[in-house]
Amino acid sequence: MDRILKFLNCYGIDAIEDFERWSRGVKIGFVVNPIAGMGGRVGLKGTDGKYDLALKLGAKPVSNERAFEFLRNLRLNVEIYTCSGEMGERVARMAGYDPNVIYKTNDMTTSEDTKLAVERMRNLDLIVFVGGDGTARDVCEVVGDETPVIGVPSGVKMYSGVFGLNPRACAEVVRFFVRGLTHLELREVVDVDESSLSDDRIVLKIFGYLNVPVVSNFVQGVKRRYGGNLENLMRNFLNIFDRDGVYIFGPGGTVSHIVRSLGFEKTVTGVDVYVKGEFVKDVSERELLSIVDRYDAWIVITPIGGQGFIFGRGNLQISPDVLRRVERSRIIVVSTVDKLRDIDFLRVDTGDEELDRDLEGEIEVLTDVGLLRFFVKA
Amino acid sequence: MKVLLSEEEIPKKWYNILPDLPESLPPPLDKDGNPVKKEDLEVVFAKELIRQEMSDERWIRIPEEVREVYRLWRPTPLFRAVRLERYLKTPARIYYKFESISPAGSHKPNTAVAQAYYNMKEGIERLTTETGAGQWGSALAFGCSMFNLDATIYMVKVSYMQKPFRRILMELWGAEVYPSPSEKTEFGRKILEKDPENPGSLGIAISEAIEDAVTHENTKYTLGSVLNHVLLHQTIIGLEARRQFEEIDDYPDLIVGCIGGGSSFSGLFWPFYYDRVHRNVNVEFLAVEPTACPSVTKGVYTYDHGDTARMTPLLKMHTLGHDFIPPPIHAGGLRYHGMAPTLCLLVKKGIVNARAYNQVEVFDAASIFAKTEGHIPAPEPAHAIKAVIDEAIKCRENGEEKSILFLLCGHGHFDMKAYQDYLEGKLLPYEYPSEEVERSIRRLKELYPWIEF
Repeated sequence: MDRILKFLNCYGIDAIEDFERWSRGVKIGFVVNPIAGMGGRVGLKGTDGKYDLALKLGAKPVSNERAFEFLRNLRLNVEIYTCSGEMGERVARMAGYDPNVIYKTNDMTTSEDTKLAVERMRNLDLIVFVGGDGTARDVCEVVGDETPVIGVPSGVKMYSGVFGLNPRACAEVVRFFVRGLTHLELREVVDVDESSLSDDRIVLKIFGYLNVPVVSNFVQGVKRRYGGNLENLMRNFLNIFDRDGVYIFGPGGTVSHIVRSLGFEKTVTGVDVYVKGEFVKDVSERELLSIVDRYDAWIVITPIGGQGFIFGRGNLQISPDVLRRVERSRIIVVSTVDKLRDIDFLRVDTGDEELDRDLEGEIEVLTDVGLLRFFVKA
Repeated sequence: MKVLLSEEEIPKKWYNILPDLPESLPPPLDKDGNPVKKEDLEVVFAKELIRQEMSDERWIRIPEEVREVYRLWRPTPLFRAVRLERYLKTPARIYYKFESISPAGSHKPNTAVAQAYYNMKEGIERLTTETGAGQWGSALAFGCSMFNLDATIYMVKVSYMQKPFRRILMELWGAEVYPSPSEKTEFGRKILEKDPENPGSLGIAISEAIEDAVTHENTKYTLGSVLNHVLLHQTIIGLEARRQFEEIDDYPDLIVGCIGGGSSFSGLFWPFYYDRVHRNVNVEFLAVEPTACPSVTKGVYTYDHGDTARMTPLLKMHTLGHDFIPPPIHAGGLRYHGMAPTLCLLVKKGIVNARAYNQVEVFDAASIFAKTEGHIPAPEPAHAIKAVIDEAIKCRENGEEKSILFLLCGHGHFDMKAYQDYLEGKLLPYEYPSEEVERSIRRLKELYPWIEF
């Protein structure tokens, strides 16, 4: 049997690849960063090293929910290699897997734990991590571009091009990978250059590359920067701006420019609020909830360049609870045409599938050339 | 205008190119560099077929029993595409050899019948094979029915679900058709246990068909392309065509065909290659493939002593019609991963030229052909038609009176879904990630015609 398949392989018929893959079984490393994404809703720009603070501010762990969402949709009988407790074992068992625990840790995990765990997964077929840009950096530091890796997005910042669009899409990518239907691409691992945060722009630094199985439309790209006529965009926004209104401004350079035209200085990575002439910087989910409960607020948001995300990336403060209290028609998406050019769809990944579906469909985008209609997709 | 031969003129021998190659093909080597031995192959292939696979004989006799079955549709006509010439206002003379009239609707029965015959002669009772869209499977089902052999066909599961008509055709000819991965083989069961929703792949179906043959007595495996003996059986096409050209006292300057595994085109041009080598005639060969699977135009050719032909399938992810994947191109037969080593060698030596087209321009060409010549081509030979039209237009511009021959290797009656997509404007040159992207860009363009995209 083997000999025949090898013979056919001489003629470019690569049945042997499928044969070997399925005969031996696929081994997947699975590591969850249990604190990833916690800082988001309470307005922190990341959770690494700020775990206690996040807890104090009332943050709840989210990544294991995302991990479960991923595993639940995987529907494959693969061998899972993971870490004890909150770093993978618990959720894997919940999803019906009988994982091999190859790294034991106590519940207070650090980035060191991620690295040590991933070190033991180097020889597996694929590593799936649940986390954000910080976790991606840890994984990248250990495996580099050797072992294929895909990230289930569950951080505060997810600007790297190594994440699936959402946990469900990640499951789909892994299913394709197991079937031999993906190709591997070197994708950038980036993170915000902390020293740049005082300026009015987000500067991303490349920390390395991961080898990512890619299925187009399932894996997000890396954040990019764009030009375009911001003056026009600012003018267009002023035309529709109501001085007596209430506005929630999402993060990003584009929104910062618009806010500046109103006479305020915006935090680039935070969510700020304008309430009838007052400007409040860097608000948390709780504060946003009290605002949307009291007023008919507008949300001004810009897609992440190259990725298209409007909710669920870098602005977790605008949580599903907040979004549900704001009418869809009161979401103002702003962008230069330049930035839109590289985006197929506007994306949402709020962590709440039903809400994501409600947000889908056509939406108008305010651009430097006027209103354009675009599609929102989960 | 068509040129017809009498039944007596069905060739009595196939032409084997191996002794006439510019350099000898090294023996097939496996992945680890070891030569494949005859004995390895005898487990799955009929002995006579292995003999043909490695034969140095230039001419190999066609058994009378095979010729008798061929008579059901052979000799096939050679047409001159006068209406297409007129439409293109070209001084070129365009001819096509018409293989669509076989019972299975393509050139594939030429080898299916021969393979079934030799297996029957050796006492084999059942043949197995894999099929993607069903072209080869239906040809083999037909071939087996001619010699009272059973046929077991593993059909890639997505195709089995989405393209039921070919499956029904196979069943009508008496074949058993299983969606692959299936419960029939240990390998298939192993996959289903791990991935119950696995949509299948050609590789999986091949493995199942081979396992079936290896584990059952009096059962052999067959392949519909790529191997030398398969290409050999197809030379009946070119041999007839050569005879037909004698009838009208013309000779092709250029021969065009589409390539997937390479069997139909090889079957057409090999006999003319013989003329080029032995009679010093001037004839060019052009192989056409889809841009979506440019094995020859873009693939790496490393067939050399001590190495193997390994054309990486560039777009493996596009080979299955999964919901979320960009629509696969419609010329299923050209998405085949394998490639005949003889063809690779001839391309490398510059004897055969290769060119790639995307499926939109190809369907444009098919529609011109349907409107002028009437016959609906399968998407595969439509690639050849596109190249022929381009060449004929070139002739118009240069005032050249070239004689062009191409192979219409199959009809498109089972490809109406593809033609529907084409007519509804849903076909895309494969490069686009999805039709929805295209749609959203189109919408932007309508709204803001001055924006450059």
